[in-house]
Amino acid sequence: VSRDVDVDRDLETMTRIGRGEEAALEQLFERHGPAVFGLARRILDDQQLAEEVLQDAFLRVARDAKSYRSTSAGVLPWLMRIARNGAIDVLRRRKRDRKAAAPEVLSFVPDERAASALDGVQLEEFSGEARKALAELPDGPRRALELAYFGGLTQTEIAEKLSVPLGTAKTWVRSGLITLRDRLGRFVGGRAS
Amino acid sequence: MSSEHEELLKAEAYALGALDADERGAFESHLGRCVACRRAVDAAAAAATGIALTAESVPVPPGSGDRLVARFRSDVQGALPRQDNGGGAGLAILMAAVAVAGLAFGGWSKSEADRQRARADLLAGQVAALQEKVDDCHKERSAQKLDVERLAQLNRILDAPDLQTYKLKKTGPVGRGEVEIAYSPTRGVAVIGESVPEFKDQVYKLWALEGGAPVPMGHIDLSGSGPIHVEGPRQVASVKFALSLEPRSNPNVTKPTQLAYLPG
Repeated sequence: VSRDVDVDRDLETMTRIGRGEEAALEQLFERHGPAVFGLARRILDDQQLAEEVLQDAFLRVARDAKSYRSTSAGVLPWLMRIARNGAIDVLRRRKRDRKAAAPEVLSFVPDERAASALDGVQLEEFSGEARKALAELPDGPRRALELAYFGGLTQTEIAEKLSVPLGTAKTWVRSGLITLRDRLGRFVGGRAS
Repeated sequence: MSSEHEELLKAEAYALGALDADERGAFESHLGRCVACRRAVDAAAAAATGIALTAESVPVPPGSGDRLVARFRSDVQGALPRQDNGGGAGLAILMAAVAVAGLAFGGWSKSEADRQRARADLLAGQVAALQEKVDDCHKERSAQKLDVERLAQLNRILDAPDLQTYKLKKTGPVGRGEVEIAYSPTRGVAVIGESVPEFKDQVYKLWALEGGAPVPMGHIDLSGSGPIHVEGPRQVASVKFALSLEPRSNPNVTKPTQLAYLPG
C-alpha cells in the first residue's frame, strides 16, 4: 500500500469521524493505535496510564476532526505529538512537578506548527531515517534528546541526571536536535537558521 | 550577540518542551513577535517528531477500541446536545423543584418541613453554583475555539511562501511600542503585538497605504483573548500598513480618523 493511499485514507477517515461515524474512529484506531500506544508506553512505562493517554489522544483528534488539515504525512504525526504531550503531562504530574507544563502550551503550539512543517513528508521513510539519525548521534546529545523527549526533563533536570554542567546539557539538546534536523532536512525542509 | 539571537538559541529546547518554566514563559512572549524564532521552532518541532517515530509500535490492550468508542459516544457525539440545553444543570434544577413541590403538598411535621426546606435551599445553592460553572465552561470553550481557529489561521499566514512582515510603531494616544504585520497576499493578514491598549469607545482599524489613498483592511477586535488579529486573503499593491483608532459605534469610515500605529 503506498503512502499516498494511506494519506488519502486518513483524510477520508477523518472526514467521516468529523461526521460522528464510530466505525471510522475504529478504523483510525486500528491503523495508528499501536504506534501511539508504543510511544505512550515508552514514556510512561505503565500499561494503564499509557492506555489512558492513547484514548485521550484519539478522542482529541476525533473532537477536532473537522478542522483536520491533510498533509502527506497523514494524521499519525499529529496523534503522536498529542500523545507525547499528554504522556509527559502525566509524567510530570506523577512526579509532583509543581510547574507541570500547561497542556495547551505543550500540545497546541508545537503540534500545529510542526504539522505544517511536515507537509510533504513520506512517513515511513522519515521514521526510518529518524531512527538511524538518532542512533548515530554522539552519546551525550542522544541521551539528552531522549531524556527531554521521552522523559519530559527540562535542561536543568537533564544536567542533574547526566551530572554535567547546565551549559553542556543545553548544548547537547540544541546540537542534537539541529543534527537531527539537518539529517532529516529533506523531510522537514531545514528551514531554520 | 544580540538578545534576539540569544532567544533563537532556545528554539530547539522549546520544541522539546525542555525549557525551564521561567524561560518558557519569556520565550513564548518573544515567539509572538519574532518570525525567525517561529520558523526555528517549526523546523525543530518537525525534527522532534522524528524522535517520536523511533518508538516501537506495541499492540493495544484488549478492549481498548471498544472503550474508546464508548467514550467517543458519550464525550464527543453526546457533547453538543448536552451543552446546548444545559444538561446537568437542568437535572439539578428538576431535583430542586421536586423537593420544593414536596414542601408544598406533603404532610410532614414542622421539623421535617424545616429539614426539607434546608435541603431545598442547599440544592438551590448547588444548582446556582453548577449553573455558574456551566456558563463559565461555555464561555471558556467559545474563547478556546476562537483562539484555536485564530491561531490556526495565523499559522497558515506565517507559513505562507509569499509572507511579508512589517513593523508598525505606536504614535499618538497609544504611547510607545510596536506591532508586527504578517501579510500574505494569498492567505491573509495578521496583526501581532503585545500591550496594545484597548479603548472603550474606539476600535482599531487596519489600512494599507497605497499611493496616498488608504485602503481599509478590517477592524481589529481586542476583546477576544489577545492582541492577535487575522483577516482572510486580500490583495493590495501596498507594502505599507497603518492602524487607526475609529469610533466603535461607526468604524466603517473611508479615511483613518486618528492614526495609532505607523510604519516603523
